[in-house]
Amino acid sequence: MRRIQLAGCLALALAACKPVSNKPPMPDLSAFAVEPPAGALHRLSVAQYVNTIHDIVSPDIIVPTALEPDSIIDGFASVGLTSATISPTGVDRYEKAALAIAKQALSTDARKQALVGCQPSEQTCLTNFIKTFGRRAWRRPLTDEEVQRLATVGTTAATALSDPWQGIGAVLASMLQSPNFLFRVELGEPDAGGLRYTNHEMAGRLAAFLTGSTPDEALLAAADRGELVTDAGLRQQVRRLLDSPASRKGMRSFFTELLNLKELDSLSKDTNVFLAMSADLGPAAREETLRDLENIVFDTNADYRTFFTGRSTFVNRRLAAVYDVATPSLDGFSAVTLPADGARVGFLGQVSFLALQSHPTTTSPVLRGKFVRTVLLCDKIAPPPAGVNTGLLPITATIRTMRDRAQAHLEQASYCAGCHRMMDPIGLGLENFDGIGKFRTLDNGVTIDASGDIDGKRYTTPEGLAQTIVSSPKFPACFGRKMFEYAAGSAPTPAQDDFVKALGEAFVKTDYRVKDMMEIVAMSSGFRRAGAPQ
Amino acid sequence: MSGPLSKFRLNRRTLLRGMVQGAAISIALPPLEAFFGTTGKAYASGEAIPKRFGLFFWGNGVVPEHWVPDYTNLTGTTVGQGTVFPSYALSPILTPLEGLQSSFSLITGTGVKLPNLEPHTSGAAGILSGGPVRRTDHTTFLYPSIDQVMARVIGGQTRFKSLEFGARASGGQSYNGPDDQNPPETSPAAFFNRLFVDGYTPPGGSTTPDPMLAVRSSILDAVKQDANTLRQRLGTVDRQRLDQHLTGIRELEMRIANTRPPDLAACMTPGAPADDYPAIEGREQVSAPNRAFTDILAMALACDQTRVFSNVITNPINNVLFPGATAGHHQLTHDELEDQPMVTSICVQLMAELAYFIQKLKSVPEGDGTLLDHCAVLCTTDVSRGRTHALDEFPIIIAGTASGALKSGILYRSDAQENSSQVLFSLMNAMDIPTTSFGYEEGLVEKGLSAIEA
Repeated sequence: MRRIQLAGCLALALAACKPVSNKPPMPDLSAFAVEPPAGALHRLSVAQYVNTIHDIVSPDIIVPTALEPDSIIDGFASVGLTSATISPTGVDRYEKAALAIAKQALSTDARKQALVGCQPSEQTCLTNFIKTFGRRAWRRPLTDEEVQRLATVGTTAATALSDPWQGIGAVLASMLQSPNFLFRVELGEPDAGGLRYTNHEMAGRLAAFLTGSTPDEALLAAADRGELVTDAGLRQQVRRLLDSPASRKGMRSFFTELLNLKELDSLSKDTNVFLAMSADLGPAAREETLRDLENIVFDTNADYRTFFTGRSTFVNRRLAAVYDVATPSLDGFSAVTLPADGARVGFLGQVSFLALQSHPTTTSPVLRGKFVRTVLLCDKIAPPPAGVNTGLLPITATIRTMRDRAQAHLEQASYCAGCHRMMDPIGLGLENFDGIGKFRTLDNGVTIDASGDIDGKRYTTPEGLAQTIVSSPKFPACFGRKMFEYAAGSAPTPAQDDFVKALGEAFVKTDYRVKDMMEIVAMSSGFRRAGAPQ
Repeated sequence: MSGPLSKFRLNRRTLLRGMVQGAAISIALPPLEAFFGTTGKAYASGEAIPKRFGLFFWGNGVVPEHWVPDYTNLTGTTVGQGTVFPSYALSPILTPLEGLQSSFSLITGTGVKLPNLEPHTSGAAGILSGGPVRRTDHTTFLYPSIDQVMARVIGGQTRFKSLEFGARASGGQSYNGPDDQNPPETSPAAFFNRLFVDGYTPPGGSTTPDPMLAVRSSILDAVKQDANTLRQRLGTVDRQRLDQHLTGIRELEMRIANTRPPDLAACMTPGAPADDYPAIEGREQVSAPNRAFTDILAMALACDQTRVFSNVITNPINNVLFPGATAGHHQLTHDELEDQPMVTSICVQLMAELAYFIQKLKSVPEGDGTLLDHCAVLCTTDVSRGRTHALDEFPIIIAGTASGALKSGILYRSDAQENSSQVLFSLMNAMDIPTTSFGYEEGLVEKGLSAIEA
């Protein structure tokens, strides 16, 4: 790597070339003084449940997704699931899923052998399975008492159903319904006058954050060896995971939650108004955004700001029709570069943002502006006061465009203006894109004025808007905050302000590299130390 | 859970077995009749017909001037702080209920008195739990919704303690407590499978226990032990979360133990619904899946699989594009001008769903009446006027009479803007769950609405 870099340097003017070692060292927040979020039970999200089953049983298992639904707090399922419980209906659904998974896992001789690797009629087979599979499912070695308990389940079932394989199935189903599987149990252990997460708790945390799933064998082995509570051992595992394909899944999980992309499954748009709308547009738009991110974060390790200001993206036929670009291929997605003189740039020009943050028949400058403020800049926007009419003013002879209506609202309802002055100009800067994201120049026959300002900085085009957003000092600070919030499953409190601020500064020091940021967060004290469980 | 009523039922069944040993029973049992009411509320087997409580809920309120019937020239009787009108002409929104007026009471003029902190959620929490919300990023009811208050008392004897569902229910409106909701089924096919396929023994089906049931019990027993071991290591908050999980496990154990086939005259396995109800021209379907749910529910009640249900047809703030509407429902409630004809037409469509529901429950014979007679169904929404999120003039209909405990056919007009929680108080008593108060803070009341009680 380094040699290639040097060879490249020599080919250029030597004096202008900086050796790779001059790259500033990665910021290190592993010893930053912080009052960490409390240790807690973290329930698996639906996505984590599915990923985990694929990893520990078999990738071809059809995992039921009608499970206890995710609970969203502050935009993140990871935060919601730190306080969510399991309802009686959820218990039903987890039971049904566990029995269905066990049945599939043992449906053929090949699958039986792959999962168990011995004949359960042999005496030690059942116990061995409990120990090996249990360690994967519960992310830690089982106690003798737990092994014994599960062995009883297995022998009871084998006898009742006259089939030793049914004993294995019952054990599997039992493990998957246990709170030890459905929750990541992370309570910490005493260390240096406080608490730190244990080796195996760290394995679970790392896997959830970096891979959206459960620890692999290498990670559990590192935990067994006691390496995940040391800087060197942890760093080695973090880098290994970040260099493996599994981290792409983890990155996708994070951005799916951050950008609310799951909602694209239920996009509701009037097809009489939006002719390019179809049932598969929403999921296609999500795939576009995630591919774009994968390209930026992993394939090119590029500056995260280009996610907002760049013109490269990925489209299929549906999206090409919305973006008015030639379809590169008839099937699937292809990379395209949008026209350099076009208004469409970056994520704020993608259907996954424009359509989701709109109403079923119109745009919504308020929804679009609120998203930018709360998700990208971490500004607080209070909900509208109860009892006010939050309706838009009607179209009249003089109030014709969305901008006119927003302006008239600001003048008439002064007590609403404080928040709307923060949101509306951003959304109005994107009025060139209709309620599903198609480009337009007119609103109700009037040429669209896409100018505005964010915190006093002016822009006149969507590209200018994107540049203004990523140039704001709030932008990197917000990203650091959001990534930590997601990883820790806890909304930062004022006690963590200094730590969160340091994360934002670290992101700038990496030149806005998301992959580096994942490493910094995973290595940080805020991620590794636990507050006393409540 | 075993209250005085359940103990009594057990004694009665034992008694009947001893007396008639399976012969067709048509004999009256006067002393027991007195306990259950005087209108012959019994199955052919002689077992008392249970009372059921349900919720029929839609999101985004109504247009009050098109909801409240014109009562200005009607003759009524003063009862308490209001007026009872025994006959009245239906308002525009209520026209789909033509011909069904004798099956429900319409309650107007009451209001949710709790502070309207969170548009749409405060009203829902007020009318369903009688209590306030906790306003956070993730606003939640602070107290259980009335369906769960009831289910804790009357839900223990059936296969399902309660059922939550709805065509566009989103997260639903059924709360066990703060941040603790019962997720609704939104797919009629999944609802059907849960009720009538998985673990269901049809009438006349085999009573030989499936050995798998014993295996499932032993699995759950181990899961419970896992939870109890883990519980000892937890702090207070996580311990409460795990206790909820344990409650659910115990309910599932009871369900596994209780798979005897129903033995009730009107019980039949309903037809399976469509697998999917896809959007039509970008418009999500509401009516077709709701009617599929209703058909399944009617048989779930007739087969005594549950006695408590919560049907959230559409959730608060839903932006469903209804047929004929030019924008989503929530957006229209705020954007449409003057007297909101399009919002009104959406409300009419929702009342057509209520009409279907009432007709369906009336079509199932039970004892000498119908299934609807033995229900009390609270039909309501999350705000009165969607446009302003107002909580006065709250829209409330009670369908069914809880076996004669409630009046039907009347229009009640509260002349003193009484607290809507009084309706919940009356419902509790009508369901034989005597209470001396209902609700919390400004939602707390210590009396019902005597005018709607029989």
